[in-house]
Amino acid sequence: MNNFPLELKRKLIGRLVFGYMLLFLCFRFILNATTSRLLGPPLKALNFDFTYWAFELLDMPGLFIYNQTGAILLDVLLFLFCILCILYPLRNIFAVLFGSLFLLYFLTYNTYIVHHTHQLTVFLLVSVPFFCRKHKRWNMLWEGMRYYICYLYVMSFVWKVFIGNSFFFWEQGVSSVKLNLIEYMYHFPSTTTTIYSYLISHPYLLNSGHIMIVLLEGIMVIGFFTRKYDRLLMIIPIIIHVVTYFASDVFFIEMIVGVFTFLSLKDIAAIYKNLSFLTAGKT
Amino acid sequence: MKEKETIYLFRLWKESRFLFVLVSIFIAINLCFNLIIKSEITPFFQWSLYATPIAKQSHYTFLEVKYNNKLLTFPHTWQEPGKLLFVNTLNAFISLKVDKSYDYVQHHYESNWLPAHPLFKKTFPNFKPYNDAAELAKFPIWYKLRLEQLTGESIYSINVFKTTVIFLPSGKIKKQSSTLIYSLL
Repeated sequence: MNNFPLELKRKLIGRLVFGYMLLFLCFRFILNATTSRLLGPPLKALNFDFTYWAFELLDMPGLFIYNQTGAILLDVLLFLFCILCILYPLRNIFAVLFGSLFLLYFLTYNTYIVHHTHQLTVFLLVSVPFFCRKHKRWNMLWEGMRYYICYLYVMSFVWKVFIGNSFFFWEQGVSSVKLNLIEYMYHFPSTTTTIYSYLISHPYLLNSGHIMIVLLEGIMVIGFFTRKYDRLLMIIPIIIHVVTYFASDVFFIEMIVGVFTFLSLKDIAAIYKNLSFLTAGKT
Repeated sequence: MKEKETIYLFRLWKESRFLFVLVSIFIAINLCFNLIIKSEITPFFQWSLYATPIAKQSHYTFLEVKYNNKLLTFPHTWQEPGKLLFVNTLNAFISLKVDKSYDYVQHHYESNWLPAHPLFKKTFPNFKPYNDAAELAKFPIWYKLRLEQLTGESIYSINVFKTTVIFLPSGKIKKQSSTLIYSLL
């Protein structure tokens, strides 16, 4: 198994990762949430985040937001390079260009929804290993990404337990559901809302659910010490994001791209065997 | 020696000194931002979402938009990426224009940050990290365009209501009030 060619591994993982990203870029395009569809929003949120300040000071909004040609160009290039990354996952130049364009989109979206969201961060970071030309270096950074994915859930656990203390606030589960779903429940008193009403009237279900989610985040610490439980670690982020989406409308499904870092060589060989088209093509 | 070789950073050092330095800096910045600075001064690093307790509220208030006498709604929760462009921006606009809320960013920038960094003001005299009257004045037109893009209709009126509701013990919602607070168009 250890002899599985690195080139094939990179090709296969590259296509899975960039394919997943393309899917969500299309999703965002349909929802009018990509640059060409923003129509030059006037309100911004830069806060005291100096990366956003640099984005503004370099007049990026002037080039890509308030100039409709620039906005369309950014969209076209973003999609184009994402497709090129899928077609040619071994060509690092396409990944570098896609990563740079995605950074612009990431800063734009967060600036103009007037809120700095986190879910696109993982999209941005998982493309970084593909910046390497040498496969061995890509492999080292891809392994590092696996640690980073573990780290971000563990750090989220640390924040909730030791810094912000929300873990010890029993009402957190039900309070977040009420806050996030109030408008939806009010406007759509449908079957789904009946389920939400049931959960809110039985708050111990949501509150214990919240505690379980935090503990699941903490379990990701295992990934720092062994690869033995990578199958479990692959499922945990999926559980966290699917449950928090359905139970409390926290739409962080994009972050699931991180689970590809837990694919073992055995998994990759199995995918290669069953989905050989994923490694088709010369480069 | 063999044990050492299982350590990721050791293997990275052997593979590429350059990557080792980059990854080490990334790790150091991550830990520093999360455990020491604890404030988001650049993206990627802080994972503090839902880390602070959400206080129990007796009632909940949100904004409702009526365009051409129709209610603006998003029937699916997965529409979030597009919905935020309507909801968050409108909340920010109403907060500044109608509620005249205290803008922490503006206050901190003008009262503390600029006096502490006088050269910054000289170098970038037009820069401001907050929204002021000029941006607020452009908002209604932009919102109308976005609504037209979403609905495919020509928009002739946009009214914003502040709606207050409470949760009943059954988990169902009861409306308390709904007041027109601003007409964008």
